[in-house]
Amino acid sequence: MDLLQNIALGMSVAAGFENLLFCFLGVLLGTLIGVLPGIGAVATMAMLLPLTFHLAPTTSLIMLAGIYYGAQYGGSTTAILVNLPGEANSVATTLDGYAMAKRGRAGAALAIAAIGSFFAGTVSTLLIAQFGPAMAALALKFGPVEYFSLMLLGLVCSMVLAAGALHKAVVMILFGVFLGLAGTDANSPMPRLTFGVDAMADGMSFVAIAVGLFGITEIILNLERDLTRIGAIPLRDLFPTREELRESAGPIVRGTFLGSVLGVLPGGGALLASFGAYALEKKISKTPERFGKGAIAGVAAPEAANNAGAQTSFIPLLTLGVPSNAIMAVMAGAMTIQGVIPGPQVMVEHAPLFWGMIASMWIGNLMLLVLNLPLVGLWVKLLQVPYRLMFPAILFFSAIGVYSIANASFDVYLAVMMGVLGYVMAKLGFEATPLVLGFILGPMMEENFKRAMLLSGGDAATFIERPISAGLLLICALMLGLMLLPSFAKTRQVALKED
Amino acid sequence: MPRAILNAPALLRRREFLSGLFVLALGGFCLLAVGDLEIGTVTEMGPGYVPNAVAWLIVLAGAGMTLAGFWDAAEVEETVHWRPLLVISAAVCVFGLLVDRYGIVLAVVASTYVASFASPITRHRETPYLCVVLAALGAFAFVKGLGLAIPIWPR
Repeated sequence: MDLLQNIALGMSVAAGFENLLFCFLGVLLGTLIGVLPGIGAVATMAMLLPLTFHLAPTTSLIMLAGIYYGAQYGGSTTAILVNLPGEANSVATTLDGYAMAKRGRAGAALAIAAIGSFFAGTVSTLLIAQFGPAMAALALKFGPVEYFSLMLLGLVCSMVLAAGALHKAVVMILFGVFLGLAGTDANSPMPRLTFGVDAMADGMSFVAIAVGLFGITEIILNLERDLTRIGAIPLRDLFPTREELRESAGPIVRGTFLGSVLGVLPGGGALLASFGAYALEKKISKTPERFGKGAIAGVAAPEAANNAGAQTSFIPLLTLGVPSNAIMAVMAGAMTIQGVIPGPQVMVEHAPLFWGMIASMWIGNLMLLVLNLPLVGLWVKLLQVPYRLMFPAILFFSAIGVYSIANASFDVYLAVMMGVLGYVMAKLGFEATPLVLGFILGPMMEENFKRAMLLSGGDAATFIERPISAGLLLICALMLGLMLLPSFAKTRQVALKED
Repeated sequence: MPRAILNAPALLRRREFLSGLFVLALGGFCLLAVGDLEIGTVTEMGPGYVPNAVAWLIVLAGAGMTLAGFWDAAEVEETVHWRPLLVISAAVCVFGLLVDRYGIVLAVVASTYVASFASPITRHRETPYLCVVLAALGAFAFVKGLGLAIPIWPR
């Protein structure tokens, strides 16, 4: 069978010594930053991008992916023990996880979270292996017209699913697109929109933008808040009772599948998955009143879902070449730097890379299970590292990471500008994710738009004459139409509201 | 039109009005960047075609939001804390200024020292140790270990 063959190929790649080592380092680091509130996966991955230059492409992607799903495991520890989301995606877990911890069932909650995540990780790895090739085959039929419509759909979805106001997300996308257009474009030799800065001739540094918006802004905001007093609830025993195991089996399975689906959506990913799964469990539960007071289903479902969503969000990137969230935008950056153009060709031209990465996800999940269950005490100790020592270190990694991409001081200043911009955005309720997506997708869209126009002789009707493109645009229109319905807008506001 | 238009300070505390001004500023920046780039036609788009369109969309959105801000009385709940904002920005800039010519050790020490003033949570007697640890990490792990082409000492 093809699937088995592919998985065998992947395993043989992933089980190489170097790949195993960096997979381990990735999930270890992911757990670390997942546990620590105040540093997220996007910033970490962006900072480490330059360091992965020196690794083989497969190895570097395995490590970066490990950071992402590792952070999903780590985030739950802090959510349950401290009532703070270590990672934004664990917000839903704080609701019942912390309530369980207060009842003395912290160990059980942690164990269920880890088991649920492992189950979800395994299933979603298989799903990627199963559906990835089919998606890629479809994408190979895409021309510039289809690609343009697909990316437009990606941007529309990211608007609809952004947590803040819709019009603010639109503006952020547009500004991101604009920034993405700077530099030398494919059709003319002169760099544009650079204000004459040489360091921008090849475009703005993506790492500087990501580190600024997600790293520096976060530090400034954290220093405003009081992060000094973090009190973790002590752990007693790690073993869930038979009753608790039985109660969480259903939620884990449902969370996994819902999470897998929501993860594939453009603009989706782990955050949406965990909230969606929590809401679903509460809705179908016979005892909804127990939610928020320590219901194990309220831990099991979102934890399974965020891990599943984290992994399936790789599908659009690896098969269509379209990143669906900020993390995948970083992954796209990493692939491009390594000379691997994200898209349907990856599976054909870089089969060992594709399957090796998928297989490594499963291996990484196994490592995480070991890292997080027996060693959870260690991670709890880590929470006692005070922020006054952490923030200079994060700043140090940010600065070196940004600078070393091109040894350009300008990139460092650009990161500062982005940090200040991110600060203003945070104060006024603008989100950074749409900006980053626009930055990545903008130049790709311009390119495809120009080509489509060239092919059709300037006739915009080409976008609705081709069936796949017309279908994608129809979905865009439907989603925007939904947004205008007041009842939907209200539901969206409630569902996506943070804290 | 609501009374608030006569009261500029009150208007400047309104979240949506401020958001509109912010977007207008972004749009203005974009138009400035476009400058006199060649726009071209639909079939033969110049390098400025798409940027120019995007810049005007942002300006329009900003104008609309600013206008709408006159009717939305919600005020900004957040306050700006200048100290972390300015000090952290300065710390990173210091790194950028120094690293080229004076090497990673001095750049890290200087920026870590500056960063220590960002918040009252810092204990200043710890700062020298932190500087030493981070500078050593930069020199050994990053430059020697990973082979980044950054000078260690002033050149």
